[in-house]
Amino acid sequence: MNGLFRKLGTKHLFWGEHMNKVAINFVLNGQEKTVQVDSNTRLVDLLRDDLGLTGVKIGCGEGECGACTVIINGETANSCLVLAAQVDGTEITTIEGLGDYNHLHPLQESFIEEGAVQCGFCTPGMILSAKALLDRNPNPDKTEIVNSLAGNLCRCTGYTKIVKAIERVVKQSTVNPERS
Amino acid sequence: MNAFDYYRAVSLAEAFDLMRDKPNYTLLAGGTDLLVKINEKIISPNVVLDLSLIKDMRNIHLENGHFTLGALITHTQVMDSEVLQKFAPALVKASSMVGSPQIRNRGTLGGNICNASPAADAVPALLALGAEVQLMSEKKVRTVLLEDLFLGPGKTTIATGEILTRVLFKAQRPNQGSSFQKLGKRKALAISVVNAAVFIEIDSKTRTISEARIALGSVAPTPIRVKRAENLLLGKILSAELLKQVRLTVASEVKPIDDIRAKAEYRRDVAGELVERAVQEAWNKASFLG
Repeated sequence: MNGLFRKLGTKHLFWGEHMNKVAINFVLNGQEKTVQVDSNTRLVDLLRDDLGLTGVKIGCGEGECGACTVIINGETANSCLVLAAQVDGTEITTIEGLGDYNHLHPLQESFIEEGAVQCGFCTPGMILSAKALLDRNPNPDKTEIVNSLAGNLCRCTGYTKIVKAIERVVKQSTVNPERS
Repeated sequence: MNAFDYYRAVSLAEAFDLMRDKPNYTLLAGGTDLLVKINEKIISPNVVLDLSLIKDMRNIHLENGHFTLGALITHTQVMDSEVLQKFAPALVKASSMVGSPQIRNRGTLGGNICNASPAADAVPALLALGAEVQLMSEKKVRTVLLEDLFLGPGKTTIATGEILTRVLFKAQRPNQGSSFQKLGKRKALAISVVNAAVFIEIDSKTRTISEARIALGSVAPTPIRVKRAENLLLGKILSAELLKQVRLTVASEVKPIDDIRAKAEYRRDVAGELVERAVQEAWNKASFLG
């Protein structure tokens, strides 16, 4: 299946009377996926409804709140403003790709330690924005941390503890680099 | 979201083929404006044609003092580009103030132009830099001044069958300076209440202003240049009195409206203030030594 669609090329990704189904291949949290999606399906709906990744939240649906943040090819994106069809050939990380209950990601541990989670709705997006920042810049200053969260709204914490949680990971990784 | 067919092109040739076959297409670049409009049913396209994979529209090219930017470069790419930081700082600042990191990672320079919002942040910066845009169709290529592209909110002179492929402007020289200023309702994720960009050149012999462009957004149906204010600067050395005249001229030259973000009267005042700051900064950055 994979090979077939690759060979046919992008112009022929479509079939059926109205040609509004699209086959896509992508890497999701380290695993290869091949799925068929309606051409008007948003990435956030594919991830939540079809693939069960409900850590991806829907807040505003218009790119303001950042609750639906995912990492596509190393860069954060609002998955409510991306068509599922567009992620063909990309690598996507959601919060489910960071850790599990027994092995939390250092950012997840730090958010718990610092009390950076209240209602929790913004938390997956916050952590993914922080991860994208640290992957690019392992030693950011406070301003860089704050700026990296500009696209993620939190209505509970006032951000202070979120910023502290990220600073804690930065400190830990400079002391003990293999942890991040 | 309404049902539509999705196509994507990996080359311009493929895009033009699809545009010919599906004349009711809607072009998709970064999607940060288009998908909001589709989600909110402001538009209901039949055919969405995704251009985002066309590789040769993603380059930043500097040769002989001339920039050629592919229309698909993202605001993040603009911000991260060392040559743009050095030779087009006003554009870098404008792109850095668009939306949020997530929006800047996807939103493109060409999309910011083609969406034709009166509040687009990159557009006044490009107008101040004297930018032109390349419009390509299957059979021909035309280059137009960016300021001639806009007809009104959401409306441009781009014809059916045309794609805005490149943005062209000159790299800043040492005796030139530029600045971008924005007022939003908050620091991030804010649509501009007013934005302004200024470019000036100082004649190294006379130390007077030999070239000036002042552009503003959110003060008229399209981003505009204020040429009466520009003319005031020409041939002069910057002074407090001159800045005051420029400020008053800008306030009278813009044509803002009342809307959800601000009253027209407030916008006039802010427009004058932002231009004053921008002229001062551009002047300070330009070197007399040429």
